[in-house]
Amino acid sequence: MSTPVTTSTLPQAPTFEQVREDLIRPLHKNTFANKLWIRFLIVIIILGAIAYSHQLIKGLGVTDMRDYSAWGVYIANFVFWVAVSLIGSLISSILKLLHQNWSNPLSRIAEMIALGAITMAAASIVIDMGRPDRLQNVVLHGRLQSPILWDFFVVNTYLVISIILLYLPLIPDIAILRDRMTDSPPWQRKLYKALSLGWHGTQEQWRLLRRSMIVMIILILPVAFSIHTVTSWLFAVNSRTGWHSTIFGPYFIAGAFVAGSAAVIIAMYVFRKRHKLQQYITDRHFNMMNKLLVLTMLLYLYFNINEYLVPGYTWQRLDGEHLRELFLGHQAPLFWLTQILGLVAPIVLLLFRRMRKPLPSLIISIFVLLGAWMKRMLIVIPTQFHPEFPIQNVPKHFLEYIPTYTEYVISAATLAGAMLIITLLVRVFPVVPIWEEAHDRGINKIFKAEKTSNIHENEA
Amino acid sequence: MKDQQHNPTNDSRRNFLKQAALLGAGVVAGAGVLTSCSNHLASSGEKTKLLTATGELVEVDPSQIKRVRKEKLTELQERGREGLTGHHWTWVIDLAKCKNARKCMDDCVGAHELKPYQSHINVLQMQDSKSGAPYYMPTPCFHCDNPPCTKVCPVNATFKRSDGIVLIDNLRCIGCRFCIAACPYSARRFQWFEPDYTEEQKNRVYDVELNVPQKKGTITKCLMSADRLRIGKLPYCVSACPNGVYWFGDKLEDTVTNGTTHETVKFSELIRDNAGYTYFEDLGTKPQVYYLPPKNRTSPYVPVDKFQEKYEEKRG
Amino acid sequence: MKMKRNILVTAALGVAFLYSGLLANAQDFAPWPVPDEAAAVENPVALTKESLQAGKSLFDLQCKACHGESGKGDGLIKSANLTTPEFLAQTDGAIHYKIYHGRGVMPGFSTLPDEQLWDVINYVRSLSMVRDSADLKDATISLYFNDAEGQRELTAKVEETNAEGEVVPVAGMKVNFAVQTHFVLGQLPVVPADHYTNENGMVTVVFNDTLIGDGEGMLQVVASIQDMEYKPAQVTEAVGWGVPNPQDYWTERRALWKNNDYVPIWLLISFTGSALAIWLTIVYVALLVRKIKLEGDRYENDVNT
Repeated sequence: MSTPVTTSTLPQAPTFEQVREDLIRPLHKNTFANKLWIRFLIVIIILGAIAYSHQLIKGLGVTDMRDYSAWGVYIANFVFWVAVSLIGSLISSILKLLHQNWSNPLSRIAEMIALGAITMAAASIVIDMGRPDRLQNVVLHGRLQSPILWDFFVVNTYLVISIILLYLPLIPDIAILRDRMTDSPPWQRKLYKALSLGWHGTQEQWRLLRRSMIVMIILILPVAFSIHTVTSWLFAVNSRTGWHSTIFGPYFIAGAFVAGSAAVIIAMYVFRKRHKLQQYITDRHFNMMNKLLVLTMLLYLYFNINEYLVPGYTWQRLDGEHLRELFLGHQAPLFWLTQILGLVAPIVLLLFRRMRKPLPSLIISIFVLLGAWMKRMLIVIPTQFHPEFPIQNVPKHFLEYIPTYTEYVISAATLAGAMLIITLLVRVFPVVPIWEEAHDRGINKIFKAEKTSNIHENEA
Repeated sequence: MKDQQHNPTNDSRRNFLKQAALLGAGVVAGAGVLTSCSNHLASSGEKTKLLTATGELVEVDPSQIKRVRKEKLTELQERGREGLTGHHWTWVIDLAKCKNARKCMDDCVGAHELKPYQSHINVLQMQDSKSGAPYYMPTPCFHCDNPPCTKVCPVNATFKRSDGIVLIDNLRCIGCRFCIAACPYSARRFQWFEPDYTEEQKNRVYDVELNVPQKKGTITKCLMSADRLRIGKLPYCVSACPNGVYWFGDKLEDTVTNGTTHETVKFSELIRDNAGYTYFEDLGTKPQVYYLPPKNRTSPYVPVDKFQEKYEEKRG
Repeated sequence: MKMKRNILVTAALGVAFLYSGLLANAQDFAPWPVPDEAAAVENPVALTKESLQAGKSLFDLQCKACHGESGKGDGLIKSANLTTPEFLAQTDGAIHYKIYHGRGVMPGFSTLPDEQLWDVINYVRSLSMVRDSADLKDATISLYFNDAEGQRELTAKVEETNAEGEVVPVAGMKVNFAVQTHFVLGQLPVVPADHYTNENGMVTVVFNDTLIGDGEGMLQVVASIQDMEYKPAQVTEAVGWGVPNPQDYWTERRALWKNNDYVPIWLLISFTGSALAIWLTIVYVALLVRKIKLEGDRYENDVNT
């Protein structure tokens, strides 16, 4: 562990077998550190479950949400997770359609993050409900007019699409695992056997796979855009200062790509280190991902300026109150920290090539991701304290919102949940697509069955 | 044509819409739709006996029976959702009269079994500009004709009846609090904790028109005391006011009655002669609670902070 | 943070206690000094039946809510008892001063004509004279409609049974005409001037209001008497002199705020349309994946055989 694997140990032009073995090596052994990590995550999730049952029994009053801050951390988490999940579509779909082949080794990381995040987004919304026991009412009595119903629909759809989009490019890799991972426990062998769908790389199978992938890559785009647009509409459709904005859809989507790119960079760093993938996730990938991050952050900065300058210029009654609170009032430290450390400073730093190296970019990305979460808090909460009528005749603590331990523990549990999903996925599946990697290097040997298939077709 | 009333002739269209909604949800749940559709289409040739609503016994092919997904509603829920035919309740609040006696809030809290700070009607201390004099303003739910809250409700838990009242069904509410976010008038409250009820109180039959018993994790809001209107009485708060602030009545009938003096006048004349107005018309909500301007007030001004102790929440 | 909050609460409680006067009404029952010159003012309005009746109307409108029907201070809020010897010991001038200026929750009525205030004082003084309802006389009232010659007329007749058991008309009785609203207490006055019965116990008024009735235009017309010597009596009769109630005020059939049965068509089509398109595509991909599986099975069969 202590001595990092240098590139010299690997041949400059690896063969297909070498690539294959490099990428499935981490799956062979369940390290002590890995076991400890999984247990740690499970402990946090259990703590979250305890906190949640407390909330279920006592009511949502155990949070600091009250009538004038009816949405709090949970909704901010929901928006955050939806945002992070959008990266799956950016890397697997937009970059692929633009033929940005450098991103191919990162697509599976992005898809796994997307799956973990969208699951936790769904969980966050249930956690936020006052009566989760009545969730079925959304199906039984759903009102098509409600953006929540649209959200319910797109979140579920996006979850399914994320699973499919993760699974499809995995099929050839699972076939390799089925053939190579013969020393793994029986459940794992059975899993590979079932999920490989009898993949033998015949021409017909490749044709079907390519077609289904291209369909999914295109399909995920409108769904991904609508999931975050609808999420932004949960706010924008209310005539409230700070929410009722026509640019909320693109604003949220730009912000989502920022959060997701940062999450991918963090994951890249971790897996490159832990799985010794320096040969596959190179400095060039970091360089490119960071450039992508800067691009999305510039776009987000542009929307931020629009979002704050226009109401700030007219300074209408409630807009003025709201913006004063953000710029100079109670929220100001958090607001400026978020905007500067989470947005402006990273943009400036990442303009330097040295900052786009793995370690500096990891640190910057952590700040960006933290900033992304804070930003969601700043979007969700302060607005609610500026209703049309003054807030009176309520207990004093209704006038502020300070999340309680219960809320923090439950939020931490959703973070742990997302990480657990990703950890379990990389435990059984290679984090870099083997066949795509081989294909990009021009050493693909998994089309072996083509001949048979041809014969087969001739016979038929 | 009463839109929101149950009308048997609408059932086929209702079913279509239900199925359309079901389809949306069904694809999420799986292939449920396919099976339910095939139930309707396949003809089996056997006959089933069926008793119609008019009492006739008829034989029909089982494939022709559409299972109307009858919502499981209690009698009080059904009644509460229908509304009182031929009325459009309205409310006129005379700001010149309000002296902050807060009898309305007390009675509201009492009738709906709320904590003091949850009162559905909230008397605010207002001052429109620095040079203007402060005045008191009771704010109930405005029962908008274009209500933002019922727009966003995902489960039809809050709804507008044919008589204009926006109600909440707390057996249906899932507690998403979207309506709180949507309401520009801060008219909605949430039950953050289990209300202080004995087991017996808790198990009472739920009355939508009174929203009692209150339930943890659901919304509660001003209902214009729909249960009182049903029996020809004025709302709790309106009849509790000692200062003649409230006029309550029916826009269709064009009359309003003062809750204190029981004087009855024409609604249109009262509004016209006293420059009545509504709040935030620019939001497009079409509020149905009117205000008369706070002019010629005779009462002294007492800052609201002095009432604070009543509204402290005992935190668990 | 919590600590700070508690201190704030304690402080608020303290302040609230000091200023709790308005809620507890403590100051409202403290002695209320009246300047001598004000107390010395004499009541210029004579104690007549008309004055009492006018006083009663105003009392019912402005005072009853708090002081109660009988003036005992048992209305909607705790207020002064107007029937105690201490109260009655005051001069009319002192009572006038208090009504005029007000104090605490008791509003001042400086905007009302002075004469009306003296009428009220006359009436208030009469409240303490206990009037058992058994002492009051019974009167019956009946109501007739006359729609002849395009002129709508209301006629009320008031009668009583005299000591000899004969039904005789009551003359000079004030009759109020009103239309009953949905609310038991809500009676909209029609032809609001004062009308008194003639020597035949009859009073006829012209009805030319345009009022909204029920769905068929029926109005519930009420004629009532409120007299110091008689028990209150009223009669309600329906007449089709109103404008039919439109019954329904909603103009839009489908709207975003309505329930799921009235989804706007554009929304229904676009939502279900896109939902179907997306899920049909997913089903299509699922079928492709199934084909991959079938192809794999076929390949394995080929290899095995």
